Amino acid sequence: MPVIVYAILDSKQVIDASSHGISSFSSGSGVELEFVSASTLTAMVSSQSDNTLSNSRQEVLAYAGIVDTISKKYSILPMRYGSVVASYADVTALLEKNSELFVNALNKVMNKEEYSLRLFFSHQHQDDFVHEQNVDITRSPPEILLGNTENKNYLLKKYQQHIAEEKRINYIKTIQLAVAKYLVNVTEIVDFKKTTTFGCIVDAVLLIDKGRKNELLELVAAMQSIYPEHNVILTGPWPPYTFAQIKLE
Amino acid sequence: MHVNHKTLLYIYCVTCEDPSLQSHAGCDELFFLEINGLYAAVKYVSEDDYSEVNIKKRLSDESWLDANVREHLNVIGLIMQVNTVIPFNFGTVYKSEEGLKSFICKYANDFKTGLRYLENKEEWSVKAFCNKQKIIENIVLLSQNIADIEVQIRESSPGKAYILKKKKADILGKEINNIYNTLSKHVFTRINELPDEYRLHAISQEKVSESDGDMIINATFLLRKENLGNFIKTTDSLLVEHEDIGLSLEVTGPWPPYSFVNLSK
Amino acid sequence: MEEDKILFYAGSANEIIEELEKINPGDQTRINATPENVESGLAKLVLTLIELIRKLMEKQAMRRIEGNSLTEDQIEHLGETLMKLEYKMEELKKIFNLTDKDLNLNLGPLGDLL
Repeated sequence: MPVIVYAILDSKQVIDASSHGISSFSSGSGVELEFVSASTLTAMVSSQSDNTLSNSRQEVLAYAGIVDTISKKYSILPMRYGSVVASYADVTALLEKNSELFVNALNKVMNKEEYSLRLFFSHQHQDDFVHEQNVDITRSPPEILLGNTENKNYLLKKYQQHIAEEKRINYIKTIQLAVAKYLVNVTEIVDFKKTTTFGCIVDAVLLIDKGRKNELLELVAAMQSIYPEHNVILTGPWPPYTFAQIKLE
Repeated sequence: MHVNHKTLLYIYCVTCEDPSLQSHAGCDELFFLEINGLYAAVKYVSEDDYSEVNIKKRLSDESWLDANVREHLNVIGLIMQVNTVIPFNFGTVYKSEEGLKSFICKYANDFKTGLRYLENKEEWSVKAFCNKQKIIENIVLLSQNIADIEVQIRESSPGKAYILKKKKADILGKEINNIYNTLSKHVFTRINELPDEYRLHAISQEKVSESDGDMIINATFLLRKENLGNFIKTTDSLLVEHEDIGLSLEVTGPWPPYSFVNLSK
Repeated sequence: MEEDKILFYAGSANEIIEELEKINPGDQTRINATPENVESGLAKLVLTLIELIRKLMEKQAMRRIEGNSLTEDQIEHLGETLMKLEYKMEELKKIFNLTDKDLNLNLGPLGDLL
């Protein structure tokens, strides 16, 4: 009977009397959660009555919702949609085999929350930026590319794109450094993801101690006032998806 | 007096060894069906008691329920003494031998895997309780915060002492909770040294009797038989260690391994 | 995303939503392996790798240009080669009906390939 795994946590958290144990814990979605434990770890699971995962957006969101509810109460290693094993015995085997890995990962995220901070070019500023770049670039191309042959023109175009990209990357780096300086006041655990779209300047995830949310908010507000030309969005708290990554054997 | 036509097949449990050597476990009507290398411990029962409609009525009859559930657990318990079992829930019946056989055959592999896994293991339940009164009596020894306030109270003027006493009352609940937490984690870590796997259960807020105290641990462990001796020793020594603050442990077993058999019922 | 996850934002909400959509397209379709799209899946993989190499070659060319060490002939040759490569790439993409977006594989923690 397939078993869906939502999260892994330290068993001692479950025993904690002040967290009112298990009786008051509901997944909030009608799914009955069970606690399966081995070694010093507990997995939160539910058994699946039918064999198919439909991959529908609804199911993925429902799963994420349950993980989110659990993460509000406990410090967990969140699983991703599709974490299914064949039986309860497989769950305990998983816990036993990877016990050290899980414990280490849990230590990293214990009592911490993940937040996402993104900075985007405002469209106006982006246009201005690009325009500035173009003006800059057309000013002084390398001599060797001036000659107006088909090949040289091609290379010139490529060169200009290359310079523009370098400028953009340097600009992003400066901003990232500045953001990092702000964030260091509240955490050292920050991951600047590689930006994948032109408009994205900073795409960072950070891990901070639970309870420091307001500090973070103040910090981001302060930082934003230095960059009023950019769009900023801070979201969270999230289950520590980014920082609880583990490679299973 | 009414005629009992016993046509339903009631199943206690499944084992994988031929239990023919045993006496009939205190139940005259008990017999064993061999199905695909597995043995089902069964008896015939009447529709009057166990049909879907009638069982619901029976379930509200406390004395009937008590007697029959005891019998169910007793039979399984006796078979368990010599065999590894996969227990069935009380009241599980089949309309015919064929019905039972086809069910068992369908899940034969799961049963066999389950039985192999449970071989030489036992299920034990541990409930830990704290005596709040005793803790309050010893609170100064157990909580630094309270101890500090006590010192302050002794050294203060009556007015200030009054306020401090209120503060003490306020934080007392929290301190007791902290003590419960520290204790439960400590006790749990010690007990958990030996078992293979376990299930944590809801902590019941209800008290069975005043002397029971507050429940701080409610868990079921799967233990290898060879570790049982040390497991009991650990629980005993924990009791002694924490006697003065009212820790009590309810250690019961071996139970039919309901918690560690996870087949679709 | 639930509203209560948004802790703070500044600037244009519409622009932010637009940018977020680009990063996490709402309808991420899962790849179902059918015989038809296994083939195009392979094409995607191969072309992505070729595109990666092509981009690396471009970058290398830019450095050589910046280094000011190339002769006229070398520049012409470089330009011609890169141009042909790009043109060929476009052809291949058309044949397999793939866009630049299709080729941008996500490598998880390493980010996107391109």
